[in-house]
Amino acid sequence: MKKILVLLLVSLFSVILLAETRIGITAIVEHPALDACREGVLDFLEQEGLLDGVVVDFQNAQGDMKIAKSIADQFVNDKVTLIVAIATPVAQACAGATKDIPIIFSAVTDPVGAGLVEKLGKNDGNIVGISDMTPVLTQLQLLKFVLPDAEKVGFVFNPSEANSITILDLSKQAAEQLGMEIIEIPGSTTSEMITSLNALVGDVDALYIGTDNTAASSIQSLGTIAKNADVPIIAADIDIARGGGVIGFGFNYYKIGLKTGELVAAILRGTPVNELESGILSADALDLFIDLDLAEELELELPESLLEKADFVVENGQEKEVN
Amino acid sequence: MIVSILEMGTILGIMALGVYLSFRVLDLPDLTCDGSFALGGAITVASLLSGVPVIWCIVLGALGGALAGFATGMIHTRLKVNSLLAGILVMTMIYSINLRIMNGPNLPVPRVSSNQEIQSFEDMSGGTKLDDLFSDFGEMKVSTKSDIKVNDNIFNNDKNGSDLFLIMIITAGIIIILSVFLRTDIGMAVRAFGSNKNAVQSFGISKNVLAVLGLVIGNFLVGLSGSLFSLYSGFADVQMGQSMIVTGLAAVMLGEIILSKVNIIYGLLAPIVGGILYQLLLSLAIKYGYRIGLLASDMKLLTALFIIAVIGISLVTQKDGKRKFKKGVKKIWSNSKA
Repeated sequence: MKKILVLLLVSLFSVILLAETRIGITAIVEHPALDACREGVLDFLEQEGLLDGVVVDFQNAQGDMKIAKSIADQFVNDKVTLIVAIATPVAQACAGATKDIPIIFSAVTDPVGAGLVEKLGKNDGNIVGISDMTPVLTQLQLLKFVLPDAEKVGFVFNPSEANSITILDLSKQAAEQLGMEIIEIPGSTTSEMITSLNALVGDVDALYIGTDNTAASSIQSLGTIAKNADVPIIAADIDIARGGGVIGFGFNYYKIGLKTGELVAAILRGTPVNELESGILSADALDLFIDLDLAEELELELPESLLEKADFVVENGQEKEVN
Repeated sequence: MIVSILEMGTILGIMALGVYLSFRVLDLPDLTCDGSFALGGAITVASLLSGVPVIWCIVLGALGGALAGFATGMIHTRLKVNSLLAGILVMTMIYSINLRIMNGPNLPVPRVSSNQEIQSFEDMSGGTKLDDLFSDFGEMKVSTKSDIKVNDNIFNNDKNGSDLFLIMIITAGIIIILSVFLRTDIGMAVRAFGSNKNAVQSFGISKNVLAVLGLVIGNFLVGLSGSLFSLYSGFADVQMGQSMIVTGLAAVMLGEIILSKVNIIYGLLAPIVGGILYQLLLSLAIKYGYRIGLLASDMKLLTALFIIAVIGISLVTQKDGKRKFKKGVKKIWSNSKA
């Protein structure tokens, strides 16, 4: 009896496995921005009608590199049609596991430095994807534009996130050209970050926060600390800005997901990977968020020319979409 | 599928062997391994990228782990700090050291060479809608450059079994060397240290020396495992040592269930077998788990619960349960012969 049951189960599994197209999606952790990215990918495929009869296998590595590697191996062994890898370490783990199955990375700021592709644009090999490179230069110009007297800018980041290190490097160059100095405010956990900011908030004229996952998780407390010290936060992510920033200028991760979905759709329709381009989002996908209430509290005067360009404005406790 | 489970499981098994040495042989709980695993990987990939031949990269990585073990040993014996706390202290220090070694949180073992510049978003996209506000700032330019060279890797990752062969040879070498070592006078003293920390003084060897020696060897193996893991999976990350100790313990216990402690060779094989079993369970959870609502991320909970269960069961069976169990087995055995 037992044997028959086992046999039945095994054959059921193999029937299921043979009958389906499988897409493997893996992310390093579950996190609002990365989840939004994944939803973007799936929504795009759904709209295109490419999800019918397709099994989507989502695996979260829970920040554990050996699980990330096992997930990559598992996808390869299951012969999934393609792999969507969200964030740097999982993309690297997948890249190490297969040279044949197409890998579409997303939310990797510097895919060249991560050793995934030789350059942005078309590449040989099985890897293509979308970088979440954010307009660091523009964000710091924006900071200088709003706060012409700012000299010391605090950069809040987690030194264990590869993306944040790339942005730190770029922002140092930009700040130097603008006559400002970047003060590093590191924290490898949310609590360390809060301690770090408490210690250094008195030394800076403004705060700049990149697309850092740890900063995103602790933005409520970071925002309160900054507000109490009368220091405005300029963020590279709208959602981070919503949590405590005066101005946010950056990408919505859902849109990054949609753009990644375009690449996935092209591959599902049979386009070879080496004919697709790794790239960034176009500039018109950038959103500008301004919190007028917070600006007033900090006695910060924002020029009318900037307000005209805003996409989201918070006024009298209500957020409105403008334009 | 089997090949990759065996490969990954054996690499984890080497780490578990290090845990086995500290927890079982020395009976000295040591949490350094979360740090020394990542340290081994960080040193290996950083030196690989700076052009050191791959074999030396592995040796350096393993020695880095040994150094971490030495630090824990010295803090434990000289400063009289509890070994658990000493391990946590060293593990915490290694986090910062790794960021220095890799000059960042993450280093790839590249498959493609590149010395391309990544331009700023503004240069690639042709500017944003805010540009006309900033005309006063003039021309500005930022970029980041990566100089990555492909180096020889000992693994080729094409699942034809050659990686497995290599890993197996390394593992067999380690087990042979260890089993010879543990039979020498000093090796016997290390084993005796685990049973009775004060009695070993009669060997004429200071118990402090033995504790440090054991931790050095244990963490050498953990560093080696981290080094192989990095080369095998294609990157080193500052967070890759996370919860290694729990995995190591689970592997040791799984192995001990399969292989009873007949002699020291079985004892040394148990962590390897356990590592492979752990990896098998993890793969099954990933492969079939999602059909029953189990996720790979539940593995941490399940692993810890498993360890608690094994400890609980072994406690129960130790008292009178074990005798009854043995009696029962004997009875069945004699019945079957009759």
